[in-house]
Amino acid sequence: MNRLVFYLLIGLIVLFVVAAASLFVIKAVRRRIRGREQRRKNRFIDMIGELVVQGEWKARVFRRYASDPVFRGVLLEYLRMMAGSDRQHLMEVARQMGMVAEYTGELRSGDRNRRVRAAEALAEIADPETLTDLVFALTDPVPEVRVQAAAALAHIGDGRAVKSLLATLDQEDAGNAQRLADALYGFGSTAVDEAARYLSSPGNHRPLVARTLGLIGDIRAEEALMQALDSTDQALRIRAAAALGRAGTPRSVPYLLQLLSDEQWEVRAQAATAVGSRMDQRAVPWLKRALTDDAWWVRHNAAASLVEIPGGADALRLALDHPDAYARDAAAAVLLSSGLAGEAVGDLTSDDPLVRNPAMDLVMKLIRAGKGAFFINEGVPPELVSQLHHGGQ
Amino acid sequence: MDRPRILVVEDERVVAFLLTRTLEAAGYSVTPCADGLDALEIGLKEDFDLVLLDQRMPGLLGLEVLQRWNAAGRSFPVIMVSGITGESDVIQALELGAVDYIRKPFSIQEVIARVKVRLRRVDP
Repeated sequence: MNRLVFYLLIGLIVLFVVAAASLFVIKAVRRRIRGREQRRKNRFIDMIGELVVQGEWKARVFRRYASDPVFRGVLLEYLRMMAGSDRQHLMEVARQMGMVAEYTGELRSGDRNRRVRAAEALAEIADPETLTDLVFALTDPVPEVRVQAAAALAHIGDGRAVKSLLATLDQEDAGNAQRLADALYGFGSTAVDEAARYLSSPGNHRPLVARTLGLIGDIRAEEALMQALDSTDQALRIRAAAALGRAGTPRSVPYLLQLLSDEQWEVRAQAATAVGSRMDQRAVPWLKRALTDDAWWVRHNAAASLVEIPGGADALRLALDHPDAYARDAAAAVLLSSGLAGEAVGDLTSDDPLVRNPAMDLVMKLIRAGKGAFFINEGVPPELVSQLHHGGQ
Repeated sequence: MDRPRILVVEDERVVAFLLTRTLEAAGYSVTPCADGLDALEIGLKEDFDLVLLDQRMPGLLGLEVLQRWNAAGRSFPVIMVSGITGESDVIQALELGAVDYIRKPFSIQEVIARVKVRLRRVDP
């Protein structure tokens, strides 16, 4: 029995040693392979880089390595990092090497991994001649292929692809739709007309497209965004109100001001921010009223917008005396975060009473609003803070 | 007359090679560096006419390098090199005293033009 245990133990030890040694050898071999590939990669980086810097576009040199995946990877890295005429030359080289034709062919491969890799490579190359193939790839059953094709199309920036991109986006789930919306944003102003039309369709992702139009910030979207404010889709109304902050003109300001009385607090909050972005003085009395809104975000956004609008900061200072405690809080918080309270601290020591007295008044009101700690952190002596809290000067 | 000295701080080998060789070919003396901590040390010891500073790097971020140089009283004209998503980084860098920025992907001709503008008085 003892002998059996002994042999079993020896067997286990031998097995362990063999396994450890095998693992060590496998790791060493992998390290060696990785090291060799890295050296090859570095050699190609230097080689392609030197040709780029010298402006020598010798297709002969490039063709020699055309089938080497490491070389191709490095070429794609250069394409990703470069812009301008040198990039155009490099793209032409990729064409001459047959890379573009090969990858567009692989977009129709039965192997999903090959299609993903091809779409990724074409997104780096961004060759305008691949437009039709990339539009075809937008209908691929694999989400990653569609996303990469959309990225490539955005990189190329040809507006003819926007309609197809929107059709694909419309069928996506929320996660993928966001990635396609990023591509839509990449088109910039080229996408605006088609995306604006999408807002009046029964599309599934209209809020997302409205948001993207806001990010692009082209005023050609204004009319469609204003119409979207009348939609029964609340998410769309919220996004459209926000988007008008960047993609609106003075024309949309009255619409946004009406939205400050909307039933949905999210719409009111976005409208409050949007009118601040427009910096339109007509908004000041409306925003002052919004300081007493039931929703914290609306009060906060209204206060933040008042700081942006000429004359709005004065309204905010006056709001510190507002009978509504919520309005006073919103005004105080934004006066602190916007830097106006910090500026007042600097003015406390001014020799000019016209500068010093309003500063003293503002600081005193903020201290009474419970913001004394802010001024102590700003270097105001605690005894002065205490004195101002009790109304002395 | 000595050639203007440029420190290129960039960890991506492709970008580092492009910047270094392009500037060398344009006649500048270039010191490449691939790590934020190394860049900090080099900048504390040596003087440069211009620094091209990447934001995302191992060791220390570009902005941190800039902050520490400022704190140590080391002042170089710095051009930030930033990815497309780094808008806030660019703004912060300009606030810290960077004189310009280059966005990736970049054009080689644009890099040379921007460097020349900054080094106009000491052009080789």
